Amino acid sequence: MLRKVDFSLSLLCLAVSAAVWIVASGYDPMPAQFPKQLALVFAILSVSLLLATILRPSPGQTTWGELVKSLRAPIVLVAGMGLYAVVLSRVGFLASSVLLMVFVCRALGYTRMANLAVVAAVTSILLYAVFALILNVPLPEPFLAGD
Amino acid sequence: MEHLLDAFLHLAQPVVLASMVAGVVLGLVVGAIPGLNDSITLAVLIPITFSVAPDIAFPVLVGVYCAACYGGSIPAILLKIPGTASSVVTTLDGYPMAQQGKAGQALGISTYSSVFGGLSSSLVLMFFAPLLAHYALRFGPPEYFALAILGMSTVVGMCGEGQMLKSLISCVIGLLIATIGFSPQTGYPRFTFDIAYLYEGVPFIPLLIGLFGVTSVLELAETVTRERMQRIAPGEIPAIGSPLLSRKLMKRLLPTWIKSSAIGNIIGILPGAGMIMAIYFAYDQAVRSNRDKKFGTGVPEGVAAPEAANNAVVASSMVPLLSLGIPGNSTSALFLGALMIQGLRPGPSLFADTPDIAYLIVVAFFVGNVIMGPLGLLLGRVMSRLVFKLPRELSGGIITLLCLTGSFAVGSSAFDVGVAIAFGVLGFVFNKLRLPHSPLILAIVLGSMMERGLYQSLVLSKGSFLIFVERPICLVLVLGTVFFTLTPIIKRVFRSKARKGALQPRSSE
Repeated sequence: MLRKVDFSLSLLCLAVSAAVWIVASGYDPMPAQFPKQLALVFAILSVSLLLATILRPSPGQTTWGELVKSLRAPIVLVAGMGLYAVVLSRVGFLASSVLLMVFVCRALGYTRMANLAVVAAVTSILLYAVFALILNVPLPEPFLAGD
Repeated sequence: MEHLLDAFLHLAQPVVLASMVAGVVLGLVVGAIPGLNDSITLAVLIPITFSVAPDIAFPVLVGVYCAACYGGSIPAILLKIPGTASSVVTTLDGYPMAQQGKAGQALGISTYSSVFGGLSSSLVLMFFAPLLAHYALRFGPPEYFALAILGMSTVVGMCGEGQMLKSLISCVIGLLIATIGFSPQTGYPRFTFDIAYLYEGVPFIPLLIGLFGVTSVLELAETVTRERMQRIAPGEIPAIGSPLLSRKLMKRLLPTWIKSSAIGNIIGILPGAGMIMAIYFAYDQAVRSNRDKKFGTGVPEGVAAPEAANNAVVASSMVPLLSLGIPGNSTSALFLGALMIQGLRPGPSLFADTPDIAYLIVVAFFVGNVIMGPLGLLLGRVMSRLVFKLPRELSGGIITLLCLTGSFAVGSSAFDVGVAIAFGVLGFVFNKLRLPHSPLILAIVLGSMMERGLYQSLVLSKGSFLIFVERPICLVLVLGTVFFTLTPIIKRVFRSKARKGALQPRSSE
């Protein structure tokens, strides 16, 4: 039962409420009031969830094992997206976007590389044309923008 | 009335009308592609609308919202795969109809029902939103605080069984996120950790793009992996006949359309209640009204009820947003973002300050549904074959790129891309932990209104909480809050009594 995710969630929420209370205590009294009240309510709800998990464990609850297993593929995608956010302004829009799309499609299991390269290039160029050229929305330089 | 007429004339302009048609076509396509839906598309489109005139942007967005809901029924009927969550119930009778060789009739029923539900809700929006906005102009800080509490209580009150605690947790997490940035009272920076990007709060559009778009890609990654492991083969599209309905069948379905549209409209107006509740209520009502028919085996009413109800939710969910500034559901929260990005403020002042845009949106819902009927009948069959040719893996890549580019475009900063990714992860984790999204979004939207309303009210009343029950509108809102908060508890009491009642005769036997 201790492995159940809701149990860990309640502890995490309790920790967050304590952190919010501590950080808000450093503010002026007026702006600190609302976050501190929320932290208190959050702590009460966390304890309620904790008690509910201990007293009435429902059979449908997710276990940590299941959660970690289901997270594997999404974690790879998040890592790729994070890298994209970091390199976007350095590498340039087109190069990083083509690479991101190839990476995501490959991670999702798409195997036809030639098709993928064409679709990724066309999509990236179209996006750049729509945002930067037609709508005048500022995007990073198309190639090797540098800092 | 004059504003409505002006809006109709405005929408009749070729460019505006063309944008409306483009929105409807796009909505039909994305609705028909499993894995894509109205929310993801709107999240991606909002940054694009940033530099487009509002009279072009909003018809596109409205068209997508109206048509995606209907488009979701196409794969639900043909492949038993709901294109959108609002078509889940349509599979129950739609797919058996397709298997019996009545795919065209099922698609026709879905189209007629969606148009009926959509038109009824656009009429509700057309006449109810300006009226409500007129009354809302009298609102002061206590009313706004009570309104914020009412909005959140409806979300919590309408949650599923055993979900109340998690809905409340989701709500408080949203309120905590809303406290990030300058305090609305004093301008003191809170939880910003000296990051200048957070002084104005968490960027709202990237947040929504993350919660809808990025989350859906992460969900897709998980689904594709699972299906690959289980070797699930994609379904085949059955033969499709004519989608036109006979007068006799239309006459038979009319009572179902009326009842389901009424259910959809009522549920749509309540903030947070959502489409899923509407489609189940409508289907349940259809089952109760047609006890002689065996639902789940291809009964036309089983398609008509959920499809009329889900499209009835679409426009009516805009009533609280346009008139009070409170999104009726998660998708209408995206409209809030679209309005904000155009420099417009949803709420009572929208109708007073920018009536041209407010009424244009209202009228667009009506016209969008009118356009959706013939387009749905014409394109439904063609699209059902075309859309299934797009591999999900490719659509996942395109969505990712659109989401991240859109997030960057909002503030021209990689920080916004990071926010979208972070909230995508949060949305995914919320799904895993079965924490509902609606209370989170509503609380983020209402957080600062609630805080400002609370403290301004207490200043007005010199610290007395009685101010919230002394003013008539406020009292009504407080009573509404009490009603919605107690609803799950009352339901549980009634259910346990009914269970005890059902057990007693057996024990006495």
